[in-house]
Amino acid sequence: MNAGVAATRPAVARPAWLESMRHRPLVLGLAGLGLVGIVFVAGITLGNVPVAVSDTIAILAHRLLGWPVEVTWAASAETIVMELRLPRVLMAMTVGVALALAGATFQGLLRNPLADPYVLGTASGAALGAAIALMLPIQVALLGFGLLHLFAFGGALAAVAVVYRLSRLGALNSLTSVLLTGYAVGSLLAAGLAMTMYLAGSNLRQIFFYLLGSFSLASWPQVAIGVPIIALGCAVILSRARSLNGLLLGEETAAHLGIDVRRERLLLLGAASLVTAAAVAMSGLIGFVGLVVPHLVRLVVGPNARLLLPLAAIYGAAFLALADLAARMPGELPVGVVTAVVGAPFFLYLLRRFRAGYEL
Amino acid sequence: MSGSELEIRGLALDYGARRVLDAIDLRLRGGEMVALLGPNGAGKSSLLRCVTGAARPAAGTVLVDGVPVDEFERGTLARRMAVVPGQTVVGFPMRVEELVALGRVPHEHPLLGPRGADRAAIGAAIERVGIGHLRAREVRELSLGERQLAVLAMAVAQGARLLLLDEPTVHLDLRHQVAVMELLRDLSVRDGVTVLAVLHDVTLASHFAPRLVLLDGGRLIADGPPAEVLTAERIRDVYGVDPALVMTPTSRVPA
Amino acid sequence: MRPDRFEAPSDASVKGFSRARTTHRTQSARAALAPAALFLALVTGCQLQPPAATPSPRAPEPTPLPTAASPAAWLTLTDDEGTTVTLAEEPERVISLTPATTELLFALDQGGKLVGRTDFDDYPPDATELPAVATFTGVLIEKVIDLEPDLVIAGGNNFTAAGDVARLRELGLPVLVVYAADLAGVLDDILLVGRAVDAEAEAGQIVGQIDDRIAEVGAAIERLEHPRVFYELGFEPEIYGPAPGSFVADMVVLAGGEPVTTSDPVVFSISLEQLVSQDPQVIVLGDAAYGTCPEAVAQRPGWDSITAVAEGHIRPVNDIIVTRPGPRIGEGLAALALAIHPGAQIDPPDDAGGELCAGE
Repeated sequence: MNAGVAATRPAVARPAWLESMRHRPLVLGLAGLGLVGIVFVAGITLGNVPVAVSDTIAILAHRLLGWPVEVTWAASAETIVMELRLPRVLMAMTVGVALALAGATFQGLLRNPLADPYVLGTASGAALGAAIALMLPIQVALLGFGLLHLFAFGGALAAVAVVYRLSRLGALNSLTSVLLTGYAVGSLLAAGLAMTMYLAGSNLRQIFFYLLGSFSLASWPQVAIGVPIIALGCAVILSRARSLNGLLLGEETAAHLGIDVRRERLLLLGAASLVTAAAVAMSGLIGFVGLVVPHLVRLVVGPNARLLLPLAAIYGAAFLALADLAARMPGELPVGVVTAVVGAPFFLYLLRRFRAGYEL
Repeated sequence: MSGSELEIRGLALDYGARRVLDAIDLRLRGGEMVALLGPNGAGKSSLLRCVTGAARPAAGTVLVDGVPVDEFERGTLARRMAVVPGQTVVGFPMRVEELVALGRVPHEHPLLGPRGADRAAIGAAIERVGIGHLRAREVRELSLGERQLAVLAMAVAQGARLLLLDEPTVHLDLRHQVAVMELLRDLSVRDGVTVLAVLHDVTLASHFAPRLVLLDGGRLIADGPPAEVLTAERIRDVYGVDPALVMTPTSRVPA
Repeated sequence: MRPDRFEAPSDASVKGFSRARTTHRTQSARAALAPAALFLALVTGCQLQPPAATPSPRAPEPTPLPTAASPAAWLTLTDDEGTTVTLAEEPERVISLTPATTELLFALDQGGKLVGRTDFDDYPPDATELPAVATFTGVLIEKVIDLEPDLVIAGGNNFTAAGDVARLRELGLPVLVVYAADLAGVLDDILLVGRAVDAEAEAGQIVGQIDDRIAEVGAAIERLEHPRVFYELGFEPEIYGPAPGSFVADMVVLAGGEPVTTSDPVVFSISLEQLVSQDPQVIVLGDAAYGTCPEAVAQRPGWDSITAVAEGHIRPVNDIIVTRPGPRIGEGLAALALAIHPGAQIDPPDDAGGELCAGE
C-alpha cells in the first residue's frame, strides 16, 4: 500500500533555461571565468580613489608585462594599483575559492546541506587565536604576517584537530557525532573568545573587525604565502571528486563502491580545514560564501562533484571579489557584512523558487 | 560472463560477548539466486555484512571466486560485488541518472570521470531495470518503489557478478515488490548474476527464489528449494506461527 | 520490454593487495604540511620588530641635526610606542588620524599643512572642510596614499588600528604614533608634534598656556576638600566610569577630586552596587552631550541613596575638552574643576559645557 508520503510527487517545474544550463556545464564554466575576468578588472580599476582606466592599464602593462610605457601617472596611483588593489583582488579571489571548495567538501563529507567551512569549530578557533594574539603585547612580523595570522591559523587547525580527536572519527557512522562535537567545541571556543573580548580593553575594536572579515590589509607577502597553501589544499580537494561522489549515499555505500572511506575522509577533512584556516587567518571570518556558493552551483548542475567543485571555485572567486569591491567602494565596510546582506536573501529566494527536492 | 561464486565456510560472528552467527556453511554457484530467510534477530543481516566486509567474523572465511574477501583490493571487490541496502538516504537532490551513475564509481577514472564505456553501462542499466521514463526525475520525488528500482539500477550499472540485497522489498507496495523480485530472478537467470537476498516476506521469497536458506538464532536451519525448506513444522518451529500451505501450480507456498 | 543480455565490462584479476580493515593510518600528510609551510615561512625570512614598549610619556630628545640613522634626514623622532620615525624633510602635507592632533595642528598655526583628517574631527570648524581618510571601521588606505602625505600622525593604544599603522609604514609612509596616558603625556605629545612640523616655539607657547591653567586650577582647589567624584561616561546598557589609573581618573585628581573608579584597569563598567557603596559626593556627567542631564539622573531608581544625588551635586561638563588629549586640555581641566568645585577661583572656559542641559 502506498503511504501518502511515499507516492510519486509531480515533478517541480524548472524553467527551461535552468534545465539547459544543467547540461552545459562547460558554458557555465566559461561564463564563470568570464565573470572572474570582469570582476578582476573592475576590482583593480575601481576604489574609493578614482584612478583613470587608461592609467590603470598602463600601470599593469608597465609593471606586470614590462612594456616600455611612458610614465604619465602619479606615483601614488601606481602604489594604489599595484600595492593595494592588485593583491587585494587576488586575495579576495583566492579566499573565495578556498571557502567555496571547503564548504562544498564539508557539505559532502557530512552530508548536511547546512554545513559550511566553519562547521568544525574553525571559526571559533581562529577568532580565539586572533583575539589572543591581539592581546599579547608582542609585535612579530614575518614576511608581512603578524602574530595575528599565525595564531588565527594555528587556532583554526587546533580546533579541527580537537574535534577530530573528540568525535573519534574511527567509527564509521559518526556524522552526527562529528557535527555535535564541532558545535560543542565551537561553542566552547566562542565562550573563550567572549571572555577575551571582555578583557580586551582597547583591542576590542580590532578583534571585532577581524571577526567581520576584511581584505583591507591584503599585501603581496600575504598573497605569496597564502595562495600556495590554498592552491595546494584546493588541488587535493579537486582530485578527490570521485570520493565525494561515492559519499553521496553515505559511508557504507561508499565503502561498497570501493572507496577507502577513512583515507578519503582524512584527506578531504585535512585539505578543507587547511584552506579554511589559511583563509580565515588572512581575512577574518567571512560567512555565506562557503554555504551559499556550493548550493547555488548544485541547484544548477546537480551534486556531481566533478562539476560542482570547479564551478563552485570559479563562482566563489567571482562572488567574493565582487563583494569586496562593494565593501570598499562606500568606505571600508567589512566584507562579511556584504556577503551576509547579499547572500542570505538571495539564497532564501532561490530555495523558495526551486525547491527541487530540499526537504529541510 | 558467469556470476561469481560465493562460499562461506564455518562462519561465526560475535557482537561483543554475544555470538550472533555460528558455524555457517553456504555455497552459491555462479548465477544462483538464493533468498535468506529467518525471523528477526536470526542473523541474516549480520551474515550479509560478513560477506560485504562491513563486519569482521570471529571465525571462518568468506570466499568470492575462491579468494578470501579481505584479500581483495577495494576497487576490484567493488567491481565484482554490489550491495543494495533496504533504504537509501539521499543527502542532496539528485536525479535518477546521477544516482545510477554512482554505480560506475569503482570503474571510472579517478580524475577524468566516466568515459564512453561507463556511460553506456549507465544507460543500459537504466533500460534493464525499466526506469527509462524516470531518468531525469529527482530521486527524492519518486515513490519508495521507484527509488528502490533506481538503486537496483545503480547496482546493475556497477557490473557486479555478485549481488547482495538486504531486505530490498521492505516498504514497497505489491507492484514494486513483484517488480524487484522479477528483476532479481531475471538478472540471475538471463545475466547469470549471483544473487543473495535477505528477505522478510516468506511468501514472496518462495515464489521467486529457487533456493531458500533459513536461519534461526544464528544457525543455518535449512537450505534448499522452497518446498523442502518450508515445511509446516519448520515454520511453526522457527516463526512460531501456524501456516496454511497452499499448493500453487508452480510451487507450494505458505499463505 | 527488456533489452538483451547485459554485458559488464571485463574486470582485472584479483590483486594481491591486503585490504586490512583495521588500518591505523597516522595523521595524514595534511596535518604535517601545515606546520611545514609555517616553518618554511619562518626560515625564509625573519623580521622581528622591536617589541612595542608600553606607551610612556617620555619626551624625545631633540635632534635637529642629521643623525647616524640617515645622513640626509631632516629629523629623527621616537614616537610614543618607541618606534623611530625618520622625516626626510620638513613635512608639508600632514594627515592627522586623531581629533586631538587635528586641533593641535590648527592651534600651532600649521592647519595649512593638513591634507586629511578622520571623519570625527570636528574642531576647529575649518577642519571639517578637509577630506576624511579614516572612519570608525578603519583607515581608508587608498585615500591616504592618494593624498601623498609626508607625515601621518596616528593614535596609539589602537585608536588607529595597529594593522593600519603597520600597513602605512609598509607602504613607506612615516607614521608618528602619539598616545598620552595622562595630562603630562598630553604636554609631551604637543611638544613632539610641534617638533615634527617645525613649530616648536608655538608648541612651547601652548604648553606654557596649559601649564598656567594647571597652576591656576591647582591653586584654586588647594585648600578645598576633595570630594569623591564619579565621572559618568555612559549609562546604558551599563554604568560606565573611569578605570583606575586611567586618563579621566588622573584628570579628576588634578581637578581636586577623589575619583570613584571601576574595579580593574581593563574594565570600564561599574555596577550600581559598587557605585552606591563608593558613594560619590559629586557626579560629573561626561555624557551630558548625549542628553544625560542632572534631573534624569536624580530619577534613576536606586540612585537616591547616593550622596551626590541626595544633595543635588550633579553637574554636566563638555566631555570633549576634558578627555581629548589636545591643546584645549587645560580648558578641560578648568571645566572639570568648576564642575567639582563650582565656587572655585577659576576663570571659566568658553565651552565648559554649561550650555548643555541649560534648560533647567
